[in-house]
Amino acid sequence: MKRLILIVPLVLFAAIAGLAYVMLNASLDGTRSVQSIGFSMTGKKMPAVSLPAMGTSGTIDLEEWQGKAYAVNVFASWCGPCKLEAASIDVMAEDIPVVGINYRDDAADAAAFLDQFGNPYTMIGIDEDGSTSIRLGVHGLPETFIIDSNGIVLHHQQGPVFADDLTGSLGKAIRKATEG
Amino acid sequence: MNGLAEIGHFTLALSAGTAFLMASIPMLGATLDDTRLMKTGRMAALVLLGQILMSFGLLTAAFLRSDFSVKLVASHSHSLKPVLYKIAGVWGNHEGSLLLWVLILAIFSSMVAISRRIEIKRQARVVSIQGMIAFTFLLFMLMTSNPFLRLEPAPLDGNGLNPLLQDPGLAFHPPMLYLGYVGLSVAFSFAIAALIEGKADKDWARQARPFILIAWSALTLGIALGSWWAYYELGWGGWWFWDPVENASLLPWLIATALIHSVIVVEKRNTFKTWTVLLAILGFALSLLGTFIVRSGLLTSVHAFATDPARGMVILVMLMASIGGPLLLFALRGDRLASRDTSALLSRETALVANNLLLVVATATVLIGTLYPLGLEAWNGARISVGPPFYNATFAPLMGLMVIFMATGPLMAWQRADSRLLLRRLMPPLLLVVAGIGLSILLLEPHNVTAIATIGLAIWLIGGVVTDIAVTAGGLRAGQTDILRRLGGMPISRWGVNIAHLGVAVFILGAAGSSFFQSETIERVFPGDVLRAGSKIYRLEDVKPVTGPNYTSTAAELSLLSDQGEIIDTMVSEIRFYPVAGTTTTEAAIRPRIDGDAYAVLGDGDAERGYTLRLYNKPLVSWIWFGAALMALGGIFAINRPPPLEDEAKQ
Repeated sequence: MKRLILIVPLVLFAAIAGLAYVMLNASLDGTRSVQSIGFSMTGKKMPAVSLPAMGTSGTIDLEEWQGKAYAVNVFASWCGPCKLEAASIDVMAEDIPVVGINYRDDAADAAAFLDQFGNPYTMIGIDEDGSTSIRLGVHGLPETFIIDSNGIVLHHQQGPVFADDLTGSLGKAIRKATEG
Repeated sequence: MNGLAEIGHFTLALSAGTAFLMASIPMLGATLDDTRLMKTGRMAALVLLGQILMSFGLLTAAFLRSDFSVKLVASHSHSLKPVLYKIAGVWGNHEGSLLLWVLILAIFSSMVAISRRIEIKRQARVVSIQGMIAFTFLLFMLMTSNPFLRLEPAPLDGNGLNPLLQDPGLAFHPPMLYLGYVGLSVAFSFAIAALIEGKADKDWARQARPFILIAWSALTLGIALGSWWAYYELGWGGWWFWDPVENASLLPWLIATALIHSVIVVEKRNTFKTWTVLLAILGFALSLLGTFIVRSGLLTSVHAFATDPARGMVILVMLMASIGGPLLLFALRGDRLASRDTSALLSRETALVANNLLLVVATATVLIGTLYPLGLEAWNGARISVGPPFYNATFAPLMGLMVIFMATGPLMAWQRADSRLLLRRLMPPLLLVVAGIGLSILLLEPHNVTAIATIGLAIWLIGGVVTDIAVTAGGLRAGQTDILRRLGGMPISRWGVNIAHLGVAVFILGAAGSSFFQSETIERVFPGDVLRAGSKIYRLEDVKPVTGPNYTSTAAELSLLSDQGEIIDTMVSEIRFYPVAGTTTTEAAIRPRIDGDAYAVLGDGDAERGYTLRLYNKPLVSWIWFGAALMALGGIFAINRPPPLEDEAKQ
């Protein structure tokens, strides 16, 4: 019995190593995408996303935007830079409809956040466990996507949107998306 | 082009050969009982150190001379970079950091090899195992991560370095962390030597302990430097984010903390041996995990170097060999070290068992939090992240429980503690806690049960430390000269314990102050506007462009005002643009003071619409790093060997 206990560390280690082997193998044959800093959705097709809607009992579905240009902004009330970019997102929403994705947040905190900093969003989906955002390649909040009418991501911004961005490459992507 | 990089590559290849000899001959000598063969270990370790120093020096020279024909220099340096960051650039990348890792391994191996206090057979085995580790990693470097590759043609200038990494905190963070990680290799080698020998005795513990303490202290400082950097350089306002890489450094730290406590039991009481050997193996196993998991693309993190799953597979095979092998050896031979523990339930041994169990369970929770997303993904393909709520609910209570034992352990005798004496000694800490909690309720807003409990724990620990020192000094009845004489006679290692434990209390107060009593204000303002965050009053004076050595920036000048409106201090927060890297960084304005930091971050804005400012008051936050520094200092003090019978003298 005593000797059996001594094997436990080896077994646990083997289990972890086995898991690492399976996942690395999946990365090697391409079935698993390796996301690191620098991973960008730019140029890729926006995946289908369906999330419970904030404020209503329904769901939001990005399929609805088929054929239209729109932006997606991932935010949370606990994220400092999200507050910093709020004013710029307001300005951005004048040019392109913005779908909000509220990442791992408390409902009451999120509502207070929108009260304080304004609500530029056409609709907001709740990503409670963060799994949808990870599928979108989100690394840190906030992140913003500009999507054209074919569903292709023209610009994937990691980090806050500031005034410079609206006149720079992000703004260019918005014009390209909205002008068709 | 000159041949220096080629010489560096050559000495690196030679060093792999030296490591092979160092791995095989002394071990053979120990098996054959041949003193001459065993003694070759010392020479091999020193030659290895010389060769790796040569390679490291030549790589550093290439960075200093901005020799962009070396690929590593071209991708990670730039001619405009300040000298300090050219040097730090050597280890600011995968290949160079591996070379630093091996260099530190060679330094520790030499320290073991030249020690005259370690029994020769054990020394030969330990040096041999260090040689095996060195050989494995040198081979890995030469095959997959050669730092001396050339570029043809050489570019005119380098690709710069991430400006976030241009910070003194970060320049010293990796070397310090590696000192800790690699230092644990010595404990690991001692553990394997004990398994081979079938013996781990008091001498074994006495010889291994200084290395464990050096590693632990360095690891403590390394983690603290990293957290300090995240706090004041990244300007995100926090000091710990439960990022996979932060966790990866915390895991070996937790095990090493358990190890420095269990190895004392081996030294004093000659029991706990199987357990201590296991901890020594796990500590280094988790260090390897910490160094390498982020380079495999397995977990995503802000710290990741360029990730490469193919390289990850090689790393996995290396880890299998260097951890799986020892664990197999442990499974087969661990029982030879078993000993009978005869101590009573109420004894210092019990407190240390509790400490060890809590630390190991805490390690397991952090490991689960870090690996669970990977397991879930393997199960159903879903990708999730585990956030602070998980750790707040699991890790924090475990640590709280441990702090309760931390205060009582040192006050108890080995083997069998006197319950009435213990109760009497615990009265002062208890009274302090009651008084402290009462004062907190009266003075502090908001009333948060967790916050007050946390403060209570810190006071409990401080009370324990003070009582231990007072007991040593002979209590209240002792005369003044007697107190001084007794305090002077307290072993330095005992001071070490108390300083380290005090460091933990200081850390807890800092963490509690900055997380429970922080104030935050975010507003869009114009120059001249006054804002308040908690007890701090700020005025935005001016926002103007500034030119730095390798960046341009927008700088916000802020004044910190007293309640009467007088200027106490001025602060500058910047948004810097680095043209070479094409990136923008935020420099927070921080005014650290012992009672708390004023912390301001400039956000978006212009002269017409105003500027967004994020302002904080962070009470006691600097105590976090001050506490960590105290812990590390205590660790260094504890290296000093205590004279025997200290506890018997105290009774």
